[in-house]
Amino acid sequence: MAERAKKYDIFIVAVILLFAVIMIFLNLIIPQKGITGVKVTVDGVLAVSTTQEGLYPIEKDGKYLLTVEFYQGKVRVKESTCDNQICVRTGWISNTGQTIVCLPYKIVVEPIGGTKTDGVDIITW
Amino acid sequence: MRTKDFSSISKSTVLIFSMLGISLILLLFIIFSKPLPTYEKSEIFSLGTYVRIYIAGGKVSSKSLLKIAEKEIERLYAKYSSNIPSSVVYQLNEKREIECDEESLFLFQAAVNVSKITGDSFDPTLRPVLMLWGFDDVNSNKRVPSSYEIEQVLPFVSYKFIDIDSKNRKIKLLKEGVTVDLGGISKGFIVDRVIDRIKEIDPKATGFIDAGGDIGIIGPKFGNRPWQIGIRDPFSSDPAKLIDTLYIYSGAVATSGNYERYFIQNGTLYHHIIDPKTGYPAGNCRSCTVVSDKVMTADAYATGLFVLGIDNPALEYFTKFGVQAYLIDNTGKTAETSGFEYFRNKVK
Repeated sequence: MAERAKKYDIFIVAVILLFAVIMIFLNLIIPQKGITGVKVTVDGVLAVSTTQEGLYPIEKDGKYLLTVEFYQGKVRVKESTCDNQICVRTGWISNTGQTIVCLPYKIVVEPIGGTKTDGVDIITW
Repeated sequence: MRTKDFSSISKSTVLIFSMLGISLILLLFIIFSKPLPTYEKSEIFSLGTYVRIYIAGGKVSSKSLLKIAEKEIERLYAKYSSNIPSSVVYQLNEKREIECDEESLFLFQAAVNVSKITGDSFDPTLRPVLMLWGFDDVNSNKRVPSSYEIEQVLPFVSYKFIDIDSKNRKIKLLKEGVTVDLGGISKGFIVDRVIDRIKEIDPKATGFIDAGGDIGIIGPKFGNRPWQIGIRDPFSSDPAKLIDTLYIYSGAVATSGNYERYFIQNGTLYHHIIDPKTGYPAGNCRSCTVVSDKVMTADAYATGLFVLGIDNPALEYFTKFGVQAYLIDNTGKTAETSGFEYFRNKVK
């Protein structure tokens, strides 16, 4: 009886160890993908922070500036009234760490959640 | 007797296994959760672009260093922006002659030096031409000026009209109508100054400052690893698509490209990198990336070498000035200096 209990102990210890090791590696190996929301700031002031899909018109002092679209884990500036249209040309982004910037209106569109997957720390352009 | 032996062995086996297991878990925990410096980030609209600061302090808190960096950027921007009335540059354009401090003298001299070395492919007096095109400010109205208009302002474009008297700390504009804009060099210079300031306060600080793609390294990632820097693919509208990757421990990287700031009129693309000799957007280059010790150097030479173009036979000559460059032309053809390859290697 005592012997069986000891074998059972070994079994339990082994299972717990195995479980611990698997959990550690799973955590390291599997990155969380996809973004879960979007944050928009106008000149440093938070304008929108959402996890709901949809179209978000951005205004400042009652003047319409641009529309941000969050759909299926991706975000883009759908249209903008600015001159250079760089933000619109940027297109969809889906990586944390990427941002869409509209310089004329000082707007930054940033994904929320997910894990950075574009590989580099900084981009020179 | 036999049974007793077996049970004692099994007891010690359990013990050994448990000990081993616990040590293994602890070991893994120690390896994978080694406390690394925590980076604090800040993003501000300044220097006419979008500036990202990443800092981890060594002895001073990262947050305090961030605040210092932000303030220093704003202070220096106000000092050198040609659109702010109190700035050295604005004052010079108004008064034609000013007295100034060592720092300003150094910056003006640096701008003139790059103009000389690049054979006037970079010029701090280009402002009248930039204003015609509307490239002087992000909010200016963009248009194609007539050739007559350009001919009218070109005689006012030459670094030779800037007289620097370092002995008496005076800068003078020698010709009426000449105006200065240090935009092509001051952004890099300001980032350098801010990094110097941070290193003075906390020599062990690491991180980087990214001023619209002009990057200055404060210190290696986590103190011992290179920062991985992607060069944007100049043929893609996706700003995250890369054409190359560099590994940089210290120093600076800057890129001049014609794919970001431009406008299209009657089907022709006009970009913001103007050749000071012609007054029109420069030739066949699409992107020019420069690695150097200082962001100021990288920033100014990226513009100068962009203007000189991909077929520049003297490209290698510029390595004498601590510059390594990589150019891509409109057809995708590339050219680079002999030392550029070094930065592509992860292990140095």
